[in-house]
Amino acid sequence: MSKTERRDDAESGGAGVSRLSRRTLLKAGLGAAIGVGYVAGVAKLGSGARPEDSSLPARGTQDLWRHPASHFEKRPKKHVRCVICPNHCLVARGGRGRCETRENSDGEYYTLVYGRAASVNIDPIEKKPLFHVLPGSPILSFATAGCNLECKNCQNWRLSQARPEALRAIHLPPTRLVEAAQEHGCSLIAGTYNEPTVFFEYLRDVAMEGNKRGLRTAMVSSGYIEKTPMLELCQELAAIKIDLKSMSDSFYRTNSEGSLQPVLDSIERVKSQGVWLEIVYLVIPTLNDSEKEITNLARWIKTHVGADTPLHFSRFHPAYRLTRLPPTPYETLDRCHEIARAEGLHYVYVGNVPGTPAQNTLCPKCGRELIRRQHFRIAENHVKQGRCEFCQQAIPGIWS
Amino acid sequence: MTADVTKTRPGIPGRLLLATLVLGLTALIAQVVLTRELLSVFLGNELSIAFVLAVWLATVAMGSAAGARIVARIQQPERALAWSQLLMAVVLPSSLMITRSVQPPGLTPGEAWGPGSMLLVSLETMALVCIMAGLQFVFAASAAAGQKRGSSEEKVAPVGYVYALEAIGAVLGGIVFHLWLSQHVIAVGVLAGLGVLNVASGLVLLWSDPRLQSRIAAISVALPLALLLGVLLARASEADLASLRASPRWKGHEVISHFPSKYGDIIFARRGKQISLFQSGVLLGTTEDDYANEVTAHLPLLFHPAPERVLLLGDCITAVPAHIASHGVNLKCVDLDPQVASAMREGSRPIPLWGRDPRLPLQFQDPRRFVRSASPAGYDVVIVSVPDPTTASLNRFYTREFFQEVKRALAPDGLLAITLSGSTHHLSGPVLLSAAVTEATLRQVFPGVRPVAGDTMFFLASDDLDLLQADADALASRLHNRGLATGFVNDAWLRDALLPFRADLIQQQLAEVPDPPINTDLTPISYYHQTLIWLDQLSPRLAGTARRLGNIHVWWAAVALPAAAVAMFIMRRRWHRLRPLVLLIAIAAIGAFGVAVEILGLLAFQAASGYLYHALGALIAAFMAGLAIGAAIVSARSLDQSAAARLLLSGLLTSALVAALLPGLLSAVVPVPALAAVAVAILLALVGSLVGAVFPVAVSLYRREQMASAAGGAVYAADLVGSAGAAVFAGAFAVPLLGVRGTAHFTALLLAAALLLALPLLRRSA
Repeated sequence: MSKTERRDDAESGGAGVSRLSRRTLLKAGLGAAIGVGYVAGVAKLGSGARPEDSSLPARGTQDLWRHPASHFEKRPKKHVRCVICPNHCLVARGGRGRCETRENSDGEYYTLVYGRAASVNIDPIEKKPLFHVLPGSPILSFATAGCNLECKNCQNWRLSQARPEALRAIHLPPTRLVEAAQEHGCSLIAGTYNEPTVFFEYLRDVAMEGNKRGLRTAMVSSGYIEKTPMLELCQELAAIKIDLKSMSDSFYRTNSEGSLQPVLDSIERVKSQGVWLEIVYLVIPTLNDSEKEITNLARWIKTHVGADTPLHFSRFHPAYRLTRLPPTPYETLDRCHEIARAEGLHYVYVGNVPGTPAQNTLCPKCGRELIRRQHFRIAENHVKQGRCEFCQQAIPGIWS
Repeated sequence: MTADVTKTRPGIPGRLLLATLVLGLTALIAQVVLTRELLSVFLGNELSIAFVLAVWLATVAMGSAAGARIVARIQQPERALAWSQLLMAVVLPSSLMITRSVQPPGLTPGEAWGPGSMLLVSLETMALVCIMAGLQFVFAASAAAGQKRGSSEEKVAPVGYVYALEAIGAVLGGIVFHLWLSQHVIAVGVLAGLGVLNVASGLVLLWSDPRLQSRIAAISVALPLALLLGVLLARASEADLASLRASPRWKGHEVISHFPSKYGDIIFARRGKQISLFQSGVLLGTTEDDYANEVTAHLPLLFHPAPERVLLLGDCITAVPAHIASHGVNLKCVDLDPQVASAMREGSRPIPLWGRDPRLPLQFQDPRRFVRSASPAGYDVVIVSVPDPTTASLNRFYTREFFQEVKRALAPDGLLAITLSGSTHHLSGPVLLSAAVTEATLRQVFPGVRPVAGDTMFFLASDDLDLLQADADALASRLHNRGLATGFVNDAWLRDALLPFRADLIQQQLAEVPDPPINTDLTPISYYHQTLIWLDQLSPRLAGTARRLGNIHVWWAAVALPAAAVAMFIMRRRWHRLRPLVLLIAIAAIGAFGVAVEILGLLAFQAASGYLYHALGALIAAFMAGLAIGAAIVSARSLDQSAAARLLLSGLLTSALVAALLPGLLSAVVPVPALAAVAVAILLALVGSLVGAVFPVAVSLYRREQMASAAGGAVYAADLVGSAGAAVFAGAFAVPLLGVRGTAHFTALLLAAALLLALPLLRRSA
C-alpha cells in the first residue's frame, strides 16, 4: 500500500464520519437487520441432535468421595510415593497415580473413590467364580472406577479404564453398602469388576463393617498389590479370588503393563494368612495357552499354595482391545483341565462350556460328584458340613 | 492474460486417452480394494472408513501437488506417464502384501488398532499408489496439454478432458468392480489384473517412441513384468492364502478360506476344532458360540406366551435358527450375504453350518427391504440380530423408521427384540447414550419397551404391555413347558438376567439421560455414539476431540461468512498475492460440496429404499458420469479470464443454493421410494456435472499463475483436499449430529463464504 493510498483511506474515513447522513444510518440499520436476521436464521437452522453425557455427577459432589489414602510415603517438594501396589507411583502435587483414583493434594494423598460406587449388582457367587464358598448364594458386588493395570482383554474396561469423574456413581458408604446387602438377602459382599486395590480403604472399611454385622466380604483381584496392604486386607476378608493372567512376565508386560512376581507373591501371602483362596486363569488363545505354560501354572500352584486350591480355567471372549481374537476353543480348555488334573490339582474347573463335567466339584478321595452345576444353577450339592457326603473326606472351602 | 482461449480440439492421441482411462480405472479399483483390505484390519466404522478415504485423497493430492511443482522440468511427460504405469504395476500387489505383513509395534495378534496405527499402516499401504496416481494425473494433463514444455502455451482444454477421461475411467472401474470383481475375484487377483493393464498401457505409450533404444528398454521391462503378474493372476488364490497365513495378524490361526463378497471379504480361520467367521475383519461368530446363540434365540421367545410365526433378521447361518425352531414355531430367516453360506459350502474344505437345520427356510435379501415388503401383522416375534450401529448402513436397523416398519409386520401382540453391546455392571458415557437413544427411539413407536441388562443388552418392544411384564419364574415355566434343551439359559440364568434389582438399575441409568435424541434415517445419531465408544477404547485423547465435535452447530459454519467478509476487506489491496489461495479455497469448497451431496444423497436413498448396497455403484457412477460430462462440456468452451471468473462464481452460487435447498428436495422425495431413486440419481449426476464443470474453469483461472498442467495439478490437489475434509467431517460427525438438514445448511454457509471470498475475481479478472 502506498503512502498516497493510506492518506486517501484516512481522508475518506474521516469524511465518512463527518458526513453521517440519514442514508448511511438507513444502510447501517439495514446491515444490522440483515445481521440479526442472519443470526436468527442460523439459530433456527438448529443443531440437530445434541447428545450430552448427563450421567456425570454434578460439580461439587467430588469432595463427598475424597478420603485420606493409606500406604504412601511423603517425599520432598510435597511429592508422595504411593506404595499400595507395585507400580510405586511418584505423584507430584495435584497429580494422580496411574490408577487415576488417588490424588496428591498439597503433599497429602487421598483416594477419590471412597464410597463412590460406580457399579452395584447382585450376582450368583458362581459368577465370581468362587465355587467353594456358599454355593448358590447371592453376593452383593460393588466396584468403583480405575485400575492399576491395563489389560487389553478387560471385560470391564468401561469401569477399569475410566477416571472416577467420567463415571456416574452413587454415594454408598460402607455402612449403607452392608445394610443394602442385608436388605437384599446376600450372604456376602464382594469388591469386584475393577481392581479393589485401587479402592483399598473403601473395601477394608466395608469388610470391617460387615464383620461387625456378621456378613463376610470377598475380593476379586488381580493380586497386583503390595505386601502390607494385602496383609491388612487378609485380616478382614473371608475369601479372595486372584486372576493369575499368565506364568510369563513378558505377557504381563505386553498385555497388562504389569509384572508377574508381585502376583505370585500375593497368592502365597493370601494362602499363608488362611484366607480362602481360589485362582482363575483366563485362557487367551495364542497368548497364554501353551501346554508348557499351563503345566508350569499347575506345578507352581501345587508347590506353593497346595493341590487343594481351586483353579478355574475361564474362557476368553473378545473384549476391549482384543476384539479380533476368537473365543477360546473348547478343546483348549479341556486340555488345560487335563493338564492341571494330571499335575495333581484336586479342584480344577472350566467355565462357560455348556454341559461340561469340569464345572462340577468332585471328591478327591472317592471321586464322586459332590456339587453338580448347570451354569449358575446348583443342581446337586453333597457337601455336608464341609465333608463329602459319601466318604466324609474334608472338602476345603467356606460351606456355612 | 487473454491467451487461454481454448477453441482448438483437444487432439488427445488414442494411446494417451487409453492411458488416462486406465489411470482412472486403476485409481478407483485400487482404492476400493486397498480400502477394503485396510478396513478388515481396522474393523471399519464410519470414522475409520472416512479416515482411510481421507488418507487416500490427501496422498493423491500430495502427488498431484508435487506433480504441479515438477512438471515444468519434465521434458517428456508421456514417457514419464508410461514408466510410472509400469512402476504402478509392481506397486499395486506390493501394497497389498505390505498391508498384510505389517504389525505395528506393541500390538498383539487379535488386537484392534488405534488411530495412530491406522495412520501409519494406511500411509504405508497407500502412499506409493496414491502419490503415483496424483503424479500420473499431472503427467497425463501435461502430455495432453503441452506442445512446448515449460512454456505458458499449453492449452487448458485438454487438462479438462484428462479430468473427464479419468472420471470416465473411474466410472468404468466402479461398474466392473461392483458387478463382477467384488464377488468373484480376490484382492490379489484384482491388483495383479490391474498391474497387467498398467503394463499394457505403459507399453503402448512407450512403443510410440520412435527411438529403437527406448522401445527395447520398454519391452525388456514390460514383458517379464507382465509374465510375473500373469503368474500371480493365475495363482491368485494360492498367493492370497499364503500371504494371509504368513501375516502376523493371523498368528496362531489357520486361515482356511478367503472369499470375496460384495459386502466385505469373508475369512474362515481355524484354531483346533473351532472355526471362526470374519467379515471385513469383524468377528461374526464361531462354531462354539453356544452362549450367545442360546440367549439370542430363547430370551425373546420366552417372553412371548405362544409364539407361532417368527422372523429372524441376521445371524441366520449360526445355531440361532435351530434354537428358535426348538420352540416349535414357523420360522423365516433373512440374511444379507449369500456369499457367506456359499463360501461355507463351496470352499476347499466345506464348513459345517453351525448346526443349522438345512430344512429351515433361509432367504438372502436385504433384511430391511424384506421387512418393508412383508405382509402386515405377519409375525409374532421379530428378532433383529445385527452388529451394533457402527456405520450409517448398520444404523438403519436402529432407526424410528425401521421400527415403524417392523411394527407394521408384527401382530398386535407381537414382540420386537433388538440387541446392543452394553455392560452388565455399568452404563455410562457413550454406551449409556447409545442405549438411551435406542430406548427412546423404540418408545416413539412402541408403548412398551423393556431393556434387559447384560454384556449384550436386549431391548424388547411391544404394543402389549402385559407381555413385557413377565418375570423370571414365568419364563422358567415356559422354558420347562416347551421342553427346551439348553446349556446356559436355565432358571438360574433367567433369575440373574431378570433380577428386579438389575432391571431397576438399568431403568434408573437410562432415565438419567434427559430427552435423548431420536435416531432416524436422516439424523443417524447412533453411529456417532458408536464412534465415541470405539475411540474410548483405542484413543481416549481423540475421544475427547470427538466429544468436542459433538457440540457442532450450524453456527460454526455461519462464522465463516463474516470472517470471509472481513478477510475480503483486509486483503482488498493484496488481492494479487492472495488470488491463488482464494481460487484453491473455492475449488476445495466445491470438492467438499460434491462429497457432502454424495453422502447426503446416498443417505436419502437409503432412507427411502431401506437399503443401499445394490444401488451404490449405480449412484456413484451417476455422480462420476456427471463429473466427466461437466468437465468435458466446459473444456470444449472458449473461456477468457472474465468468463471463467463468472462461471466459477456462478458455480459457487449454484452449489450454495443447491446445498441450501437440498433438505427440502430430499424430504420431498424420500417418502416415495421410486421417485427418490430417480431423483437422487439425477441429483448426483447434476451435482457431479457442476463439480466437473468447475474444474477446467478453475484451472483456466489458476493457470495465470503457472502452466496449464501444473495448474491442473494444483487445482486437482485442492479438489481432493476439500473432498477428504468433507469425507471425514461430514461422514463421521456432521451427518449423525446435524442430520441431513444441518449438514446441508452447514455446507451452504461454507460455500457462501467461499463465494464471498472469490467475489473480487469478477472485478479483477475483467
